[in-house]
Amino acid sequence: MPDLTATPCRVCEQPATHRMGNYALCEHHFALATRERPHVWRTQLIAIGALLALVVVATLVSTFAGQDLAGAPLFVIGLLVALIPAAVWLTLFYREDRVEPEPRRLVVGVFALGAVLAAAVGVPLLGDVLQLGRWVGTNLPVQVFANILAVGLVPAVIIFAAVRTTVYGSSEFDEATDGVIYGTAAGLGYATVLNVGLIVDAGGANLSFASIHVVLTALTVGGVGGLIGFFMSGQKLRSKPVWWSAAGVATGAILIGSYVTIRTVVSTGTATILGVLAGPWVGLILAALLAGAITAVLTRTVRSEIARATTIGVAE
Amino acid sequence: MIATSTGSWSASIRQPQAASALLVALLAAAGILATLGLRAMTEGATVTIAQGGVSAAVPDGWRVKPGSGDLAFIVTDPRSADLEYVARVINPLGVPLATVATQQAAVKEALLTGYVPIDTTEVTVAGTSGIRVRYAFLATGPAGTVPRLVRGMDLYVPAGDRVLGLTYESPAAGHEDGLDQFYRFVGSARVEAAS
Repeated sequence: MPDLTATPCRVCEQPATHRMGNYALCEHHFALATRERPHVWRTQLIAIGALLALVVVATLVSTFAGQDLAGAPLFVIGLLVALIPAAVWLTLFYREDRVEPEPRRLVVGVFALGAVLAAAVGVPLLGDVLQLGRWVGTNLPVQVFANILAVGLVPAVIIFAAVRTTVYGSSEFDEATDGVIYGTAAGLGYATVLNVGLIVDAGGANLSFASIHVVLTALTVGGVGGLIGFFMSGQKLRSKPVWWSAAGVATGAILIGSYVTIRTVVSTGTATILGVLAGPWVGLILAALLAGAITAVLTRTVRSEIARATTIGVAE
Repeated sequence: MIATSTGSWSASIRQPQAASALLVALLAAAGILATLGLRAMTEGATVTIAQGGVSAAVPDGWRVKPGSGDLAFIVTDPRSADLEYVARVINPLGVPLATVATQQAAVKEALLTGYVPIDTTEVTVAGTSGIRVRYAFLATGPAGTVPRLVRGMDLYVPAGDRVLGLTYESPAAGHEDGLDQFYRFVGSARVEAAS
Protein backbone atom coordinates (compact mmCIF):
# COMPACT_ATOMS: atom_id res chain seq x y z
CA MET A 1 0.00 0.00 0.00
CA PRO A 2 1.54 3.41 -0.93
CA ASP A 3 2.21 5.97 1.77
CA LEU A 4 -0.36 8.63 0.92
CA THR A 5 0.85 11.03 3.59
CA ALA A 6 3.96 11.60 1.49
CA THR A 7 1.71 12.97 -1.25
CA PRO A 8 0.01 16.37 -1.04
CA CYS A 9 -3.73 16.77 -1.49
CA ARG A 10 -4.64 17.66 -5.06
CA VAL A 11 -6.59 20.70 -3.82
CA CYS A 12 -4.88 22.11 -0.72
CA GLU A 13 -1.49 20.37 -0.62
CA GLN A 14 -2.09 19.08 2.90
CA PRO A 15 -1.02 15.45 3.36
CA ALA A 16 -3.34 13.17 1.42
CA THR A 17 -5.35 10.47 3.13
CA HIS A 18 -7.47 9.19 0.24
CA ARG A 19 -6.99 8.34 -3.33
CA MET A 20 -9.55 8.70 -6.17
CA GLY A 21 -8.14 7.03 -9.21
CA ASN A 22 -4.77 8.72 -9.72
CA TYR A 23 -5.68 11.72 -7.56
CA ALA A 24 -4.72 12.12 -3.91
CA LEU A 25 -7.01 14.07 -1.56
CA CYS A 26 -6.91 15.08 2.10
CA GLU A 27 -9.74 14.12 4.44
CA HIS A 28 -11.58 17.42 3.95
CA HIS A 29 -11.42 17.51 0.17
CA PHE A 30 -12.18 13.82 -0.16
CA ALA A 31 -15.36 14.48 1.83
CA LEU A 32 -16.21 17.43 -0.43
CA ALA A 33 -15.45 15.54 -3.63
CA THR A 34 -17.76 12.73 -2.55
CA ARG A 35 -20.47 14.99 -1.12
CA GLU A 36 -23.72 15.32 -2.88
CA ARG A 37 -25.87 18.40 -2.55
CA PRO A 38 -29.36 16.91 -2.89
CA HIS A 39 -30.84 20.40 -3.16
CA VAL A 40 -29.14 20.84 -6.53
CA TRP A 41 -31.46 18.30 -8.08
CA ARG A 42 -34.45 19.69 -6.17
CA THR A 43 -33.60 23.18 -7.44
CA GLN A 44 -33.35 21.97 -11.03
CA LEU A 45 -36.73 20.22 -10.87
CA ILE A 46 -38.47 23.13 -9.11
CA ALA A 47 -37.02 25.50 -11.72
CA ILE A 48 -38.42 23.34 -14.54
CA GLY A 49 -41.85 23.43 -12.88
CA ALA A 50 -41.65 27.17 -12.24
CA LEU A 51 -40.75 27.90 -15.86
CA LEU A 52 -43.63 25.79 -17.15
CA ALA A 53 -45.89 27.75 -14.78
CA LEU A 54 -44.51 30.97 -16.29
CA VAL A 55 -45.67 29.87 -19.73
CA VAL A 56 -49.16 29.11 -18.44
CA VAL A 57 -49.39 32.52 -16.72
CA ALA A 58 -48.06 34.33 -19.80
CA THR A 59 -50.55 32.53 -22.01
CA LEU A 60 -53.43 33.46 -19.71
CA VAL A 61 -52.28 37.11 -19.59
CA SER A 62 -51.93 37.15 -23.37
CA THR A 63 -55.38 35.62 -23.81
CA PHE A 64 -57.17 38.01 -21.47
CA ALA A 65 -55.23 41.15 -22.43
CA GLY A 66 -55.62 40.45 -26.16
CA GLN A 67 -54.90 43.43 -28.40
CA ASP A 68 -54.67 45.76 -25.37
CA LEU A 69 -51.16 44.46 -24.72
CA ALA A 70 -49.07 45.92 -27.53
CA GLY A 71 -46.28 48.37 -28.33
CA ALA A 72 -43.88 49.50 -25.62
CA PRO A 73 -45.61 47.71 -22.69
CA LEU A 74 -45.48 44.40 -24.61
CA PHE A 75 -41.80 45.01 -25.42
CA VAL A 76 -40.91 45.70 -21.78
CA ILE A 77 -42.89 42.70 -20.53
CA GLY A 78 -41.23 40.53 -23.18
CA LEU A 79 -37.79 41.62 -21.97
CA LEU A 80 -38.75 40.80 -18.38
CA VAL A 81 -39.98 37.37 -19.49
CA ALA A 82 -36.61 36.80 -21.21
CA LEU A 83 -34.81 37.46 -17.91
CA ILE A 84 -37.11 35.38 -15.72
CA PRO A 85 -35.55 31.90 -16.24
CA ALA A 86 -32.14 33.03 -14.98
CA ALA A 87 -33.73 34.96 -12.13
CA VAL A 88 -35.84 31.96 -11.10
CA TRP A 89 -32.90 29.57 -11.13
CA LEU A 90 -30.53 31.91 -9.27
CA THR A 91 -33.18 32.71 -6.65
CA LEU A 92 -34.09 29.08 -6.08
CA PHE A 93 -30.47 28.09 -5.98
CA TYR A 94 -29.56 30.60 -3.30
CA ARG A 95 -32.59 29.77 -1.20
CA GLU A 96 -31.55 26.11 -1.21
CA ASP A 97 -27.80 26.67 -0.95
CA ARG A 98 -27.75 28.77 2.19
CA VAL A 99 -25.88 26.27 4.40
CA GLU A 100 -22.67 26.15 2.40
CA PRO A 101 -23.22 28.36 -0.61
CA GLU A 102 -21.06 28.64 -3.67
CA PRO A 103 -19.60 32.17 -3.74
CA ARG A 104 -22.28 34.34 -5.27
CA ARG A 105 -19.79 36.37 -7.26
CA LEU A 106 -18.52 33.19 -8.92
CA VAL A 107 -21.96 31.89 -9.89
CA VAL A 108 -23.07 35.31 -11.15
CA GLY A 109 -19.69 35.81 -12.81
CA VAL A 110 -19.95 32.54 -14.73
CA PHE A 111 -23.53 33.43 -15.72
CA ALA A 112 -22.33 36.85 -16.94
CA LEU A 113 -19.38 35.37 -18.84
CA GLY A 114 -21.72 32.88 -20.53
CA ALA A 115 -23.88 35.83 -21.60
CA VAL A 116 -20.93 37.95 -22.77
CA LEU A 117 -19.43 35.08 -24.79
CA ALA A 118 -22.83 34.37 -26.30
CA ALA A 119 -23.25 37.99 -27.40
CA ALA A 120 -19.65 38.51 -28.52
CA VAL A 121 -18.89 35.12 -30.07
CA GLY A 122 -21.81 32.67 -30.22
CA VAL A 123 -24.53 34.75 -31.85
CA PRO A 124 -22.22 36.50 -34.39
CA LEU A 125 -20.52 33.20 -35.27
CA LEU A 126 -23.79 31.42 -35.99
CA GLY A 127 -25.56 34.36 -37.62
CA ASP A 128 -22.90 36.38 -39.43
CA VAL A 129 -20.05 33.95 -40.10
CA LEU A 130 -21.75 30.60 -40.64
CA GLN A 131 -25.01 32.27 -41.83
CA LEU A 132 -27.04 29.16 -41.11
CA GLY A 133 -30.30 30.87 -42.01
CA ARG A 134 -29.15 31.26 -45.61
CA TRP A 135 -28.34 27.68 -46.45
CA VAL A 136 -29.82 25.21 -43.96
CA GLY A 137 -33.05 24.38 -45.74
CA THR A 138 -35.53 21.56 -45.26
CA ASN A 139 -33.15 18.72 -46.12
CA LEU A 140 -33.26 16.68 -42.91
CA PRO A 141 -29.69 15.28 -42.92
CA VAL A 142 -28.32 18.79 -43.54
CA GLN A 143 -30.45 20.11 -40.68
CA VAL A 144 -29.23 17.37 -38.33
CA PHE A 145 -25.53 17.93 -39.08
CA ALA A 146 -25.76 21.74 -39.05
CA ASN A 147 -27.73 21.75 -35.81
CA ILE A 148 -25.23 19.46 -34.06
CA LEU A 149 -22.00 20.87 -35.56
CA ALA A 150 -22.94 24.54 -35.18
CA VAL A 151 -26.18 25.27 -33.30
CA GLY A 152 -25.31 22.72 -30.60
CA LEU A 153 -21.52 22.82 -30.54
CA VAL A 154 -21.10 26.60 -30.30
CA PRO A 155 -23.06 27.05 -27.04
CA ALA A 156 -21.56 23.82 -25.66
CA VAL A 157 -18.02 25.10 -26.21
CA ILE A 158 -18.93 28.52 -24.82
CA ILE A 159 -20.37 26.94 -21.67
CA PHE A 160 -17.14 24.95 -21.30
CA ALA A 161 -15.03 28.06 -21.85
CA ALA A 162 -17.04 30.15 -19.36
CA VAL A 163 -16.49 27.57 -16.61
CA ARG A 164 -12.98 26.54 -17.61
CA THR A 165 -11.56 30.07 -17.65
CA THR A 166 -13.07 31.14 -14.36
CA VAL A 167 -14.10 28.91 -11.51
CA TYR A 168 -12.63 25.64 -12.77
CA GLY A 169 -9.11 26.42 -11.62
CA SER A 170 -10.36 27.72 -8.29
CA SER A 171 -10.39 25.69 -5.09
CA GLU A 172 -14.13 26.50 -4.89
CA PHE A 173 -14.67 23.98 -7.69
CA ASP A 174 -14.21 21.05 -5.35
CA GLU A 175 -17.48 19.14 -5.13
CA ALA A 176 -19.14 16.55 -7.28
CA THR A 177 -22.07 18.84 -8.06
CA ASP A 178 -20.13 22.09 -8.54
CA GLY A 179 -19.81 21.48 -12.26
CA VAL A 180 -23.58 21.10 -12.57
CA ILE A 181 -24.13 24.41 -10.76
CA TYR A 182 -21.59 26.44 -12.74
CA GLY A 183 -22.41 24.76 -16.05
CA THR A 184 -26.09 25.57 -15.57
CA ALA A 185 -25.20 29.19 -14.74
CA ALA A 186 -23.13 29.51 -17.93
CA GLY A 187 -25.88 27.87 -19.99
CA LEU A 188 -28.50 30.21 -18.60
CA GLY A 189 -26.25 33.18 -19.43
CA TYR A 190 -26.10 32.00 -23.03
CA ALA A 191 -29.85 31.33 -23.14
CA THR A 192 -30.65 34.76 -21.70
CA VAL A 193 -28.79 36.50 -24.54
CA LEU A 194 -30.69 34.42 -27.11
CA ASN A 195 -33.97 35.23 -25.43
CA VAL A 196 -33.34 38.96 -25.13
CA GLY A 197 -32.28 38.94 -28.79
CA LEU A 198 -35.56 37.27 -29.75
CA ILE A 199 -37.63 39.95 -28.02
CA VAL A 200 -35.51 42.84 -29.35
CA ASP A 201 -35.50 41.51 -32.93
CA ALA A 202 -39.25 41.06 -32.86
CA GLY A 203 -39.80 44.47 -31.26
CA GLY A 204 -41.90 42.67 -28.65
CA ALA A 205 -43.68 39.44 -29.39
CA ASN A 206 -46.89 37.61 -28.63
CA LEU A 207 -46.50 36.97 -24.91
CA SER A 208 -47.56 33.33 -25.06
CA PHE A 209 -45.20 32.38 -27.89
CA ALA A 210 -42.40 34.52 -26.44
CA SER A 211 -42.65 32.80 -23.06
CA ILE A 212 -42.66 29.36 -24.70
CA HIS A 213 -39.55 30.21 -26.70
CA VAL A 214 -37.81 31.76 -23.70
CA VAL A 215 -38.53 28.81 -21.45
CA LEU A 216 -37.64 26.08 -23.93
CA THR A 217 -34.33 27.84 -24.73
CA ALA A 218 -33.49 28.19 -21.04
CA LEU A 219 -34.43 24.58 -20.29
CA THR A 220 -32.42 23.19 -23.16
CA VAL A 221 -29.25 25.27 -22.93
CA GLY A 222 -29.32 25.49 -19.12
CA GLY A 223 -29.90 21.73 -18.79
CA VAL A 224 -27.12 20.91 -21.23
CA GLY A 225 -24.88 23.37 -19.36
CA GLY A 226 -25.39 21.30 -16.21
CA LEU A 227 -24.45 18.16 -18.13
CA ILE A 228 -21.25 19.70 -19.52
CA GLY A 229 -20.36 20.95 -16.05
CA PHE A 230 -20.84 17.43 -14.69
CA PHE A 231 -18.29 16.11 -17.17
CA MET A 232 -15.92 18.91 -16.15
CA SER A 233 -16.30 17.95 -12.48
CA GLY A 234 -15.32 14.42 -13.43
CA GLN A 235 -12.30 15.71 -15.31
CA LYS A 236 -11.04 17.72 -12.39
CA LEU A 237 -12.04 15.67 -9.38
CA ARG A 238 -12.36 12.08 -10.51
CA SER A 239 -9.32 11.34 -12.61
CA LYS A 240 -11.31 10.81 -15.80
CA PRO A 241 -9.46 10.35 -19.09
CA VAL A 242 -8.16 13.41 -20.92
CA TRP A 243 -10.99 13.30 -23.47
CA TRP A 244 -13.69 13.38 -20.80
CA SER A 245 -14.54 17.10 -21.04
CA ALA A 246 -14.54 16.94 -24.84
CA ALA A 247 -16.97 14.02 -24.58
CA GLY A 248 -19.19 16.18 -22.39
CA VAL A 249 -19.09 19.06 -24.89
CA ALA A 250 -19.85 16.66 -27.76
CA THR A 251 -22.74 15.10 -25.83
CA GLY A 252 -24.13 18.57 -25.12
CA ALA A 253 -23.84 19.52 -28.79
CA ILE A 254 -25.63 16.35 -29.89
CA LEU A 255 -28.43 16.92 -27.36
CA ILE A 256 -28.99 20.57 -28.35
CA GLY A 257 -28.69 19.81 -32.07
CA SER A 258 -31.06 16.86 -31.92
CA TYR A 259 -33.55 18.84 -29.89
CA VAL A 260 -33.47 21.81 -32.29
CA THR A 261 -33.95 19.48 -35.26
CA ILE A 262 -36.90 17.68 -33.69
CA ARG A 263 -38.44 20.98 -32.63
CA THR A 264 -38.02 22.40 -36.13
CA VAL A 265 -39.70 19.38 -37.69
CA VAL A 266 -42.52 19.48 -35.16
CA SER A 267 -43.08 23.23 -35.23
CA THR A 268 -43.35 23.44 -39.03
CA GLY A 269 -46.56 21.42 -38.83
CA THR A 270 -49.91 23.20 -38.76
CA ALA A 271 -51.69 20.76 -36.45
CA THR A 272 -53.85 22.40 -33.80
CA ILE A 273 -55.22 21.29 -30.45
CA LEU A 274 -58.44 23.06 -29.35
CA GLY A 275 -57.75 25.67 -32.00
CA VAL A 276 -54.24 26.39 -30.73
CA LEU A 277 -51.18 25.73 -32.89
CA ALA A 278 -49.66 22.56 -31.40
CA GLY A 279 -46.05 22.89 -32.59
CA PRO A 280 -44.70 25.35 -30.00
CA TRP A 281 -46.32 23.48 -27.12
CA VAL A 282 -44.90 20.16 -28.28
CA GLY A 283 -41.48 21.86 -28.49
CA LEU A 284 -41.93 23.11 -24.91
CA ILE A 285 -42.89 19.66 -23.63
CA LEU A 286 -39.86 18.13 -25.38
CA ALA A 287 -37.58 20.74 -23.76
CA ALA A 288 -39.03 20.02 -20.30
CA LEU A 289 -38.57 16.28 -20.86
CA LEU A 290 -34.98 16.85 -21.99
CA ALA A 291 -34.14 18.99 -18.96
CA GLY A 292 -35.89 16.55 -16.63
CA ALA A 293 -34.10 13.58 -18.18
CA ILE A 294 -30.71 15.29 -17.86
CA THR A 295 -31.41 16.04 -14.19
CA ALA A 296 -32.50 12.43 -13.56
CA VAL A 297 -29.48 10.94 -15.29
CA LEU A 298 -27.06 13.30 -13.53
CA THR A 299 -28.65 12.56 -10.13
CA ARG A 300 -28.30 8.84 -10.65
CA THR A 301 -24.77 9.06 -12.07
CA VAL A 302 -23.43 11.40 -9.40
CA ARG A 303 -24.85 9.19 -6.66
CA SER A 304 -23.39 6.02 -8.10
CA GLU A 305 -20.00 7.70 -8.69
CA ILE A 306 -19.95 9.01 -5.12
CA ALA A 307 -20.82 5.56 -3.78
CA ARG A 308 -18.11 3.95 -5.89
CA ALA A 309 -15.50 6.60 -5.00
CA THR A 310 -16.31 6.30 -1.32
CA THR A 311 -15.95 2.53 -1.43
CA ILE A 312 -12.64 2.71 -3.29
CA GLY A 313 -11.39 5.51 -1.07
CA VAL A 314 -12.14 3.55 2.10
CA ALA A 315 -10.68 0.38 0.65
CA GLU A 316 -7.42 2.14 -0.09
CA MET B 1 1.40 6.75 -9.80
CA ILE B 2 -0.29 9.71 -8.21
CA ALA B 3 -0.70 12.68 -10.51
CA THR B 4 -0.23 15.38 -7.89
CA SER B 5 3.04 14.47 -6.33
CA THR B 6 4.68 17.89 -6.67
CA GLY B 7 3.90 21.53 -7.30
CA SER B 8 1.07 23.89 -6.49
CA TRP B 9 -2.64 23.25 -6.96
CA SER B 10 -2.75 25.05 -10.26
CA ALA B 11 0.48 23.47 -11.45
CA SER B 12 -0.70 20.03 -10.46
CA ILE B 13 -3.68 20.13 -12.79
CA ARG B 14 -1.93 21.99 -15.59
CA GLN B 15 -0.89 19.23 -17.93
CA PRO B 16 -3.90 16.88 -18.08
CA GLN B 17 -6.32 19.81 -17.83
CA ALA B 18 -4.53 21.74 -20.55
CA ALA B 19 -4.70 18.69 -22.77
CA SER B 20 -8.43 18.32 -22.11
CA ALA B 21 -9.00 22.02 -22.93
CA LEU B 22 -6.96 21.59 -26.10
CA LEU B 23 -9.16 18.66 -27.11
CA VAL B 24 -12.28 20.80 -26.66
CA ALA B 25 -10.67 23.56 -28.76
CA LEU B 26 -9.88 21.01 -31.49
CA LEU B 27 -13.44 19.73 -31.31
CA ALA B 28 -14.76 23.29 -31.74
CA ALA B 29 -12.46 23.93 -34.70
CA ALA B 30 -13.43 20.63 -36.32
CA GLY B 31 -17.11 21.45 -35.85
CA ILE B 32 -16.78 24.87 -37.48
CA LEU B 33 -14.71 23.51 -40.39
CA ALA B 34 -17.21 20.70 -40.92
CA THR B 35 -20.06 23.24 -40.90
CA LEU B 36 -18.28 25.37 -43.50
CA GLY B 37 -17.76 22.24 -45.62
CA LEU B 38 -21.40 21.32 -45.26
CA ARG B 39 -22.33 24.85 -46.32
CA ALA B 40 -20.10 24.63 -49.40
CA MET B 41 -21.76 21.36 -50.38
CA THR B 42 -25.30 22.53 -49.62
CA GLU B 43 -25.49 26.16 -50.64
CA GLY B 44 -25.30 25.63 -54.39
CA ALA B 45 -27.14 22.31 -54.43
CA THR B 46 -29.99 22.18 -56.94
CA VAL B 47 -32.56 19.73 -58.21
CA THR B 48 -33.87 19.79 -61.76
CA ILE B 49 -37.62 20.00 -62.16
CA ALA B 50 -39.85 19.96 -65.20
CA GLN B 51 -43.26 21.62 -64.81
CA GLY B 52 -45.64 23.34 -67.19
CA GLY B 53 -43.31 23.01 -70.17
CA VAL B 54 -40.23 24.45 -68.43
CA SER B 55 -37.29 22.52 -67.00
CA ALA B 56 -34.85 24.23 -64.64
CA ALA B 57 -32.44 23.57 -61.79
CA VAL B 58 -33.96 25.02 -58.63
CA PRO B 59 -32.42 25.27 -55.14
CA ASP B 60 -32.62 21.98 -53.28
CA GLY B 61 -35.28 22.03 -50.58
CA TRP B 62 -37.41 24.78 -52.09
CA ARG B 63 -41.12 24.12 -52.45
CA VAL B 64 -42.42 23.63 -55.98
CA LYS B 65 -45.94 24.78 -56.81
CA PRO B 66 -47.13 23.74 -60.28
CA GLY B 67 -48.94 26.44 -62.22
CA SER B 68 -51.61 26.55 -64.89
CA GLY B 69 -52.12 28.54 -68.08
CA ASP B 70 -48.95 30.45 -68.92
CA LEU B 71 -47.63 29.97 -65.37
CA ALA B 72 -45.27 26.96 -65.45
CA PHE B 73 -44.31 26.86 -61.75
CA ILE B 74 -43.37 28.82 -58.66
CA VAL B 75 -40.57 27.67 -56.35
CA THR B 76 -40.45 29.17 -52.88
CA ASP B 77 -37.80 29.14 -50.16
CA PRO B 78 -39.55 27.43 -47.22
CA ARG B 79 -37.75 29.78 -44.81
CA SER B 80 -39.03 32.96 -46.45
CA ALA B 81 -42.43 33.34 -48.06
CA ASP B 82 -41.14 36.42 -49.92
CA LEU B 83 -38.29 34.60 -51.69
CA GLU B 84 -39.41 32.85 -54.85
CA TYR B 85 -38.67 32.13 -58.51
CA VAL B 86 -41.45 32.03 -61.07
CA ALA B 87 -41.36 30.57 -64.59
CA ARG B 88 -43.87 31.46 -67.31
CA VAL B 89 -44.21 30.47 -70.93
CA ILE B 90 -46.00 33.34 -72.63
CA ASN B 91 -47.62 33.34 -76.04
CA PRO B 92 -46.65 36.79 -77.36
CA LEU B 93 -49.52 36.85 -79.88
CA GLY B 94 -47.24 38.52 -82.39
CA VAL B 95 -46.25 41.55 -80.30
CA PRO B 96 -42.57 42.48 -79.74
CA LEU B 97 -40.70 41.31 -76.65
CA ALA B 98 -40.67 44.81 -75.15
CA THR B 99 -44.46 44.95 -75.41
CA VAL B 100 -44.76 41.59 -73.66
CA ALA B 101 -42.64 43.01 -70.80
CA THR B 102 -44.81 46.13 -70.61
CA GLN B 103 -48.03 44.08 -70.56
CA GLN B 104 -46.70 41.82 -67.79
CA ALA B 105 -45.62 44.85 -65.74
CA ALA B 106 -49.10 46.30 -66.08
CA VAL B 107 -50.61 43.06 -64.76
CA LYS B 108 -48.28 43.12 -61.75
CA GLU B 109 -49.05 46.78 -61.07
CA ALA B 110 -52.72 45.86 -60.88
CA LEU B 111 -52.14 42.88 -58.60
CA LEU B 112 -49.37 43.95 -56.22
CA THR B 113 -49.76 46.42 -53.35
CA GLY B 114 -47.54 49.48 -53.68
CA TYR B 115 -46.00 48.31 -56.97
CA VAL B 116 -43.19 50.60 -58.09
CA PRO B 117 -41.30 50.06 -61.38
CA ILE B 118 -37.55 50.64 -60.99
CA ASP B 119 -36.21 50.24 -64.53
CA THR B 120 -36.60 48.34 -67.80
CA THR B 121 -33.48 47.50 -69.79
CA GLU B 122 -32.30 45.27 -72.57
CA VAL B 123 -30.00 42.49 -71.37
CA THR B 124 -28.32 39.38 -72.73
CA VAL B 125 -29.39 36.14 -71.11
CA ALA B 126 -27.29 33.06 -71.94
CA GLY B 127 -26.34 34.63 -75.27
CA THR B 128 -29.89 35.67 -76.12
CA SER B 129 -31.17 39.25 -76.08
CA GLY B 130 -33.93 39.81 -73.57
CA ILE B 131 -35.71 42.41 -71.44
CA ARG B 132 -35.18 42.94 -67.74
CA VAL B 133 -37.82 44.68 -65.58
CA ARG B 134 -36.96 45.55 -62.01
CA TYR B 135 -39.61 46.59 -59.50
CA ALA B 136 -40.59 46.66 -55.83
CA PHE B 137 -43.83 46.20 -53.91
CA LEU B 138 -45.19 45.69 -50.40
CA ALA B 139 -46.04 42.20 -49.19
CA THR B 140 -48.82 42.33 -46.62
CA GLY B 141 -49.46 39.83 -43.85
CA PRO B 142 -52.24 39.43 -41.29
CA ALA B 143 -53.94 42.55 -39.95
CA GLY B 144 -51.72 44.40 -37.51
CA THR B 145 -48.42 43.30 -39.04
CA VAL B 146 -46.05 45.67 -40.81
CA PRO B 147 -45.89 45.22 -44.63
CA ARG B 148 -42.58 43.91 -45.96
CA LEU B 149 -40.68 45.56 -48.79
CA VAL B 150 -40.03 43.07 -51.60
CA ARG B 151 -37.82 43.61 -54.65
CA GLY B 152 -38.43 41.79 -57.90
CA MET B 153 -36.86 41.20 -61.27
CA ASP B 154 -38.50 39.83 -64.43
CA LEU B 155 -36.45 38.49 -67.34
CA TYR B 156 -38.12 37.91 -70.71
CA VAL B 157 -36.28 35.99 -73.43
CA PRO B 158 -37.53 34.56 -76.71
CA ALA B 159 -37.96 30.78 -76.75
CA GLY B 160 -38.93 29.78 -80.27
CA ASP B 161 -42.31 31.30 -81.02
CA ARG B 162 -42.97 31.89 -77.33
CA VAL B 163 -41.43 33.97 -74.53
CA LEU B 164 -39.87 32.53 -71.40
CA GLY B 165 -40.54 34.79 -68.42
CA LEU B 166 -38.45 34.22 -65.28
CA THR B 167 -39.03 36.15 -62.06
CA TYR B 168 -36.97 36.60 -58.91
CA GLU B 169 -38.61 38.16 -55.86
CA SER B 170 -36.98 38.48 -52.45
CA PRO B 171 -37.01 40.62 -49.32
CA ALA B 172 -35.42 43.92 -50.34
CA ALA B 173 -32.67 43.64 -47.72
CA GLY B 174 -31.15 40.49 -49.19
CA HIS B 175 -32.02 40.97 -52.86
CA GLU B 176 -28.50 41.46 -54.18
CA ASP B 177 -27.21 38.45 -52.21
CA GLY B 178 -29.53 36.12 -54.10
CA LEU B 179 -28.74 37.31 -57.62
CA ASP B 180 -25.99 34.77 -58.36
CA GLN B 181 -28.25 31.88 -57.39
CA PHE B 182 -31.06 33.30 -59.54
CA TYR B 183 -28.75 33.67 -62.55
CA ARG B 184 -27.79 30.00 -62.18
CA PHE B 185 -31.50 29.19 -62.26
CA VAL B 186 -31.89 31.37 -65.34
CA GLY B 187 -28.96 29.66 -67.04
CA SER B 188 -30.53 26.25 -66.48
CA ALA B 189 -34.08 27.11 -67.59
CA ARG B 190 -35.29 25.57 -70.87
CA VAL B 191 -38.65 25.64 -72.58
CA GLU B 192 -39.49 22.07 -73.47
CA ALA B 193 -40.78 21.28 -76.90
CA ALA B 194 -44.58 21.00 -76.95
CA SER B 195 -45.62 17.33 -77.10
